Amino acid sequence: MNCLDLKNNALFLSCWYERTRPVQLICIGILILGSIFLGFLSASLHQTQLSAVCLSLFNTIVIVQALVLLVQGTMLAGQMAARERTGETLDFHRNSPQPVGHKVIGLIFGSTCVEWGIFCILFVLELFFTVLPEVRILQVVTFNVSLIMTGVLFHSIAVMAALSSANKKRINPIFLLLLFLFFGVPILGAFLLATSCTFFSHVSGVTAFQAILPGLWHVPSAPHFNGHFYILDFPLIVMQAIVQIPLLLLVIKGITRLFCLPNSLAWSKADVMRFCGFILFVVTGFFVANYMHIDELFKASAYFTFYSDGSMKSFLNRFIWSEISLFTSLFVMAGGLISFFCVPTYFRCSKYLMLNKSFGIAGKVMADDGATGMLTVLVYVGMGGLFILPYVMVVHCSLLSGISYFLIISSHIMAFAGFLEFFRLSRWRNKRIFILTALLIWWVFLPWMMALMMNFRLNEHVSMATISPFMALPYAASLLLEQKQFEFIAVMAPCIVAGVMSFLAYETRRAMALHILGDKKLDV
Amino acid sequence: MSFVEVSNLCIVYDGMTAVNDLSFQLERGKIYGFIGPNGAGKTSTIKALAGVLEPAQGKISLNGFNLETAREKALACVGYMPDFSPVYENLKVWEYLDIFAAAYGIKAEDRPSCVEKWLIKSDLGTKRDALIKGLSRGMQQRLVLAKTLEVYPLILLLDEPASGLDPLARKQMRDLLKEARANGATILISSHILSELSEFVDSIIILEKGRLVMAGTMDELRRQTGGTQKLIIRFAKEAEGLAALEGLLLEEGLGKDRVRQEGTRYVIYFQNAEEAASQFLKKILAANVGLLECSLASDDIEDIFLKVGAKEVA
Repeated sequence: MNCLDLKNNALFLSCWYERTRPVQLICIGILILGSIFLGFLSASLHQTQLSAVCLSLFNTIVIVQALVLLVQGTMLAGQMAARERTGETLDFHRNSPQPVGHKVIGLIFGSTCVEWGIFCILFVLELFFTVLPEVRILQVVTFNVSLIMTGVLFHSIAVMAALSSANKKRINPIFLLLLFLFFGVPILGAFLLATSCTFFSHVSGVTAFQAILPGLWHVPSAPHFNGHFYILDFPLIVMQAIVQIPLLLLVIKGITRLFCLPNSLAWSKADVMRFCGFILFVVTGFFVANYMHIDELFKASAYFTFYSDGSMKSFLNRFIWSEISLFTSLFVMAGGLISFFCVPTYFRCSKYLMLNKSFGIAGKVMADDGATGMLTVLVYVGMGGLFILPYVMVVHCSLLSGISYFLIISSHIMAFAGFLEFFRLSRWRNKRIFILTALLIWWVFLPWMMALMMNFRLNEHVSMATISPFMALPYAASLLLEQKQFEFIAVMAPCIVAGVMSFLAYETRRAMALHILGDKKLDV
Repeated sequence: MSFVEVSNLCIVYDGMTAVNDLSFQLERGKIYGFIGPNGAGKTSTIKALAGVLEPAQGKISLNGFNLETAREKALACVGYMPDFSPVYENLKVWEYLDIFAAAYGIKAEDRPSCVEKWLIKSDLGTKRDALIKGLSRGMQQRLVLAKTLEVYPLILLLDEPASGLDPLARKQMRDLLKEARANGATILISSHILSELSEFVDSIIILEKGRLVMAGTMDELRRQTGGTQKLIIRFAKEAEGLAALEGLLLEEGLGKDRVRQEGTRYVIYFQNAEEAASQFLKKILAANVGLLECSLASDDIEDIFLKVGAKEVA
């Protein structure tokens, strides 16, 4: 069976029937036509020349097209996938013999079939505007290709997130929209602007607008935004594909796994490792490329020039500080993610122990989802250490500062993984309030108490307050940039916490193995 | 080789083992009743067989294919109906049947006739274009049963299919299942309405606390539980009849605990002795006390289940 044979695809049909009711289509049509018409009216009020009005109308269509596909499409993909999960109709599709690839395609494209339809209509409409001298056909095609890639990625991420959520409650889409508008957009916008991050620009599909904007609206190129990658140079659209396609493949693999392994997390340990490794590889690649083309960046980057005194030296410092902050945040966030996915759940661990006892084979495979997550996190930390090297080389810091930076960050990742493993395998696993209380004590109350004991002189000494990541991470970055003094106790404190958490995880795991395999085998 | 084979199945939830080392085989073209008290692990086992729940341990083979290694081939012949009927509330009745026909590989051009046929069979013809959210629970249950049967699966896994159905719909369901069996389907049906099960199942599997307690045909189960014969009588004149019955019991050396009153009926139990029961009946008839009703019956499924359950508790 052909995977594009959508008329025989059950999941596609289930979404198609629901989304193509005439009332729905008419409402969406009215909203879109209304937006374009109002855009045209406001343009014709302010512009006198026909070409300027047409150009304004084209811009409105471009924005509507992006909003419909990326915002409305993503929301609906998430909502329809959540409906499959909460309504338990997902089990029917898990049980059906249709190839899993068809199910994934059916859900991703079925839930957004109307948005894709609108996208195609608007694309055809945009082609008519290529008669204008300002709009080139290559621009329009590049914009649409870029939008397609981002749309598929966003929709897939929404589907994976909705299917993998453990909560059976239906999520209110209006609440999600409000949340996104009031918190998501400002935070995302501020983050993109503040970091001027090439990686996030490519992931969020800003490439599409880059293809249209410079020629059309005379907006200067976004800083950092080019096709440089390590020592290579790619066209922007290819660069976007290099960033988005591996992520898309991983997300699709995750959805596939959710169909086949109902009790598992979306990603296996190997997939999470690939994801985190890929992100670190890409971010480091952009850093290296930008550092090598620093002159070009100096000329193009309005943001860094604005915040520096205009000299190359201060610009470079600002750039390095920003990049190190970004790498540190990503290293820690990816560490949290890898801990979350690689630390086994009680079910996974039980399965692993039982199989291990019955066949004695699972014990040899540390990548098994039920095996301890500590070793995987350790491998990740080692991998992160390799990607830190270019940053350490650029800042010319001392070996001691470099090692301290690495030790502090990796200790916090290990400590979090240990804590999570202890929490998931111990008898506290069903008491969510416990994890929150313990984390607050560890991350907030204890460092606060220490700060009080140290007379609030935190800007001078950090000391043991580094047991909190909120204190430790800025300190580690400052240490790398040699803005703060090395303190032995500040570096050792996170290492001690990591040791304690790893020991707790080990002991809990041992107790669980005795419980599952020992005399008290099954607590029916 | 068995058509469905389950070996050493273990299903673990968070800190609780729902199914523990369960093994059984199902033959082709038979109906199996799957019974047990609440929390015995019936639903978990059916879900694991349907591939919607991951077992912690054990092997499941469907139509010769291992569910873990050849998932699509194994599930190609499985129809599954869960206890709570999941439906797409905003779809029309015919659309619901259409998408599941597509899921099992029925081509677009063949689906309309298939859908129409099952709309009629499930008595939902008049509701063809109605939205599913407007249907009653019983109708939704019928719809889910129709979607399960419309693709003629060789293995049917039904979890409490009769709940929410009216008596007529239950009879229709039984007829549909018998028809499926005649077409060679193997049916595993879990139900709490034991009296209904005994009418059409070929074998019974009894679960208790996640373990297999007993399995076999009704006769085999009766033998295993020390088959009891029941003599059920109703006297025309109760006082006179009761006196005669007590006299006979004394004469035969049977204790009063052998007799149980069920309304106006008296049930007398004979352990493993069909001959003794019929002799006793002859003597009652000879006593000339006037009987309105009299019948001789073996243990039914409910009696067996209660005996096994009592044994497990003890």
